[in-house]
Amino acid sequence: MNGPILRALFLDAYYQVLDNKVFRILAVLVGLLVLPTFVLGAREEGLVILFGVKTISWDNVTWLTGTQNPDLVVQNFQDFVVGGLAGTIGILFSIAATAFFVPRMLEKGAADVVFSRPVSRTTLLCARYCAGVLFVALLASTLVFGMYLGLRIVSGRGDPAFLWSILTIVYVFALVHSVSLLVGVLTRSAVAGLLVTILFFTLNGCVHNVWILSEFARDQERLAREEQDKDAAEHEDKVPPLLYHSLDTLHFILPKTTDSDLIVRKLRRAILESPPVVRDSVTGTRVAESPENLTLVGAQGERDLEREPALWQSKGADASATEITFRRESRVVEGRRRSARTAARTLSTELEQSGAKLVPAPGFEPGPGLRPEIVCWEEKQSEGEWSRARAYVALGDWLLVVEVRQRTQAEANRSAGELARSFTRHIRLDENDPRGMDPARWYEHRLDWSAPLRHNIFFSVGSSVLFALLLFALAAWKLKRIDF
Amino acid sequence: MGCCVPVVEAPQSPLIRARELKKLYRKGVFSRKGFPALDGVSIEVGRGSVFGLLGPNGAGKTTMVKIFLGLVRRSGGEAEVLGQGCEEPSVRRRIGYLPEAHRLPGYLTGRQMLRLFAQMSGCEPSEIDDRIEKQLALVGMREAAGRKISEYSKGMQQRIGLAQALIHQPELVFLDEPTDGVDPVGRMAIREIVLELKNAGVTLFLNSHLLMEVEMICDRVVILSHGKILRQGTMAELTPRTGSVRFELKSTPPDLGALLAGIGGALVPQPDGFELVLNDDAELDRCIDRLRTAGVSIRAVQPRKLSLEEAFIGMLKNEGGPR
Repeated sequence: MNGPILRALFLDAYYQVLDNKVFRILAVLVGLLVLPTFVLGAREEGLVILFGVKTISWDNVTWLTGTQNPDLVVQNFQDFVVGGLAGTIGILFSIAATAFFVPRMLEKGAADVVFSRPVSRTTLLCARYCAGVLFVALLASTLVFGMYLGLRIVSGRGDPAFLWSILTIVYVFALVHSVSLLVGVLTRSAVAGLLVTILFFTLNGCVHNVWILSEFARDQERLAREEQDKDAAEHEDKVPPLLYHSLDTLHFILPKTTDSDLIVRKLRRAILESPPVVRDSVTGTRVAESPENLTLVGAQGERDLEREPALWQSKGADASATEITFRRESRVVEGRRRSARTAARTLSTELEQSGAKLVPAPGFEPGPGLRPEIVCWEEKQSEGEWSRARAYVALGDWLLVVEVRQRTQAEANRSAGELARSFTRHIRLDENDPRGMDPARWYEHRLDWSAPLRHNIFFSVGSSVLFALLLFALAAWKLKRIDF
Repeated sequence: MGCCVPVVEAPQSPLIRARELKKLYRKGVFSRKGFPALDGVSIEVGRGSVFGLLGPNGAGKTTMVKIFLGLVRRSGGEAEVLGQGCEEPSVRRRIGYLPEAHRLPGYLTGRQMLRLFAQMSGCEPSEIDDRIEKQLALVGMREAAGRKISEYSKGMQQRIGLAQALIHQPELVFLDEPTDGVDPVGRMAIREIVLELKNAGVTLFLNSHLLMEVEMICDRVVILSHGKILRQGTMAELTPRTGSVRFELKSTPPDLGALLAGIGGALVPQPDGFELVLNDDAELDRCIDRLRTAGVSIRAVQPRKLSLEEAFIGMLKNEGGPR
């Protein structure tokens, strides 16, 4: 096998892809998905149409976007198009469009011409496999890179890590395409290849998601047991052992297609995320970045937030104009365990009794991050009037407390309550702490490069690739035994 | 041959050699029973010859060709091509193949397809453009070379198929029904190409139902039936003289029977003369003498040979009849 032969096979694959009608239709659809990123811009002032021909205020489109935060709008759109459309419907279309690649090569007459050349059957099979992957790579690259360019130019936003999504889509398709390849060789039927592959893709996703749920359920039970100090022997599994072991076996064997998104997110984070400003040495809780216009007093890095709370102060001459304190305190007070809500209520009662003026806390905003219980009030002190807010987040045996103190005269864009809410958005829980997470988020945190085998990214990728290679090897073995 | 891997061979060694070649198409994965497509076939094909393969449908002709090309695995016996095992992909650099009812990649143009197969056959990149133009000219497809193969007529596909079989200048070419679907003019053109190749020293293995074509082109012929060799030999060996001689006369005398009485066997009158079965050359001399003595003007005397078709059908009938 030499360079010219490989080039020839690559070119052949390329021409075959370009000639494919479904490819052309998908290319048009991709163009239609990319177009809005060039026509509509998500800016601070609202949704900008055609570089400013018209601007629609966020108030008028919140029903559609769900948020007024342009960063979130862009992120949601990217997730919807790449994760939702391209990652599922796009893959299904691609399976349909490429299912005939191998059966057509094996048709009588076509096979005679191709396999009578001095190229091994395995190489030719590999070329057809690559043609399928190329098919998706071209579409995924156009979609993701086109959207990235559009968002960058028109909206002024665009995380370069979004480009990793190309790899996700191609990776998932490459895994699924190996099924199509094997069925194509075994049956020499495009229809059989198409149906079996779509069925596999769907069932494989179901198996993996149910496995995550069962893993999550078991983990939650374990945590509950630990918290209640129950004897493990008394405990009964909610997930029946037979189902659990069956799922486990299937999970270990089958390709983990649903992990791809999470792996890419981890990659993005590993590459882009800077070290935390503050990390609590006990809970592992981190503050990803300092609040806007505030600076951390003291050194960055790890500390015990119960003993040494972190303090941020305003930049500039009047450092005390705005202050944010982040600390950790025990949930147990006077022998009673408090929730975040109880703590907030207690504080409100105390403030009311002391005559402080309570003000409404800022409303809930959809999006990532913790959801704190916030209490806001105003108070007069000798040095002036202060706008105050305190946010509580429960974490195991601890309460995380964010305390905001803002001089009323200070020219602040945001209220103390909004600052507290915003600060909690930058708090990241320890990735190993599963409390308060939904199954998807729990699994995202569990899956890691250095996690135990069942949640290990290397294992996930390795076993998935091994599965695809095994199917390819089976297809190659069978192909060698076909008499044309 | 530019792109071929040189293999040292004995000068007189056959290009194709098969001994007790067997192929059994099994009925199921685990079944030992099946249909024997080839049942102990032994042949040798020498360099520079045009070898014809004949037989009724299902005789095993295509199976035999495909074994030589590594497209079908043999069940028994030995098969060598160009001094190497048939399963060796590298040997196919020196072999060209035009399959019957081939399907070329319709998404490519004629020129792209030739380039693809030239590259796949390991041709030198610098030589490919020249070769493509040469082959296109040879098969008369220069004008249509920029069009997609899916737009070609049957005849055009056959011609471009022939070009792909020859693009890497092979030493040995297997042609399976090369004139199938081609009009008479195209058929003649293909025959000329085959003869040109033969003159250039290329060994050709021709599999055709058109017996006249085989008779015109081939040096040696093998007739297969039921997976076995029914007969093989040179064209002269397979189409012997019948003993009958055809006389073409300027005008036929009314008393022809009486004039030739006592010479040869049955006399069969023809519109422009007659046919007579003669036992030897002395009888032929006597026949001519009598005609000339009677003042009959002889235009031509032609000893009649069995046509390949007649020989072929005769052999099959003797074997149990064509299926």
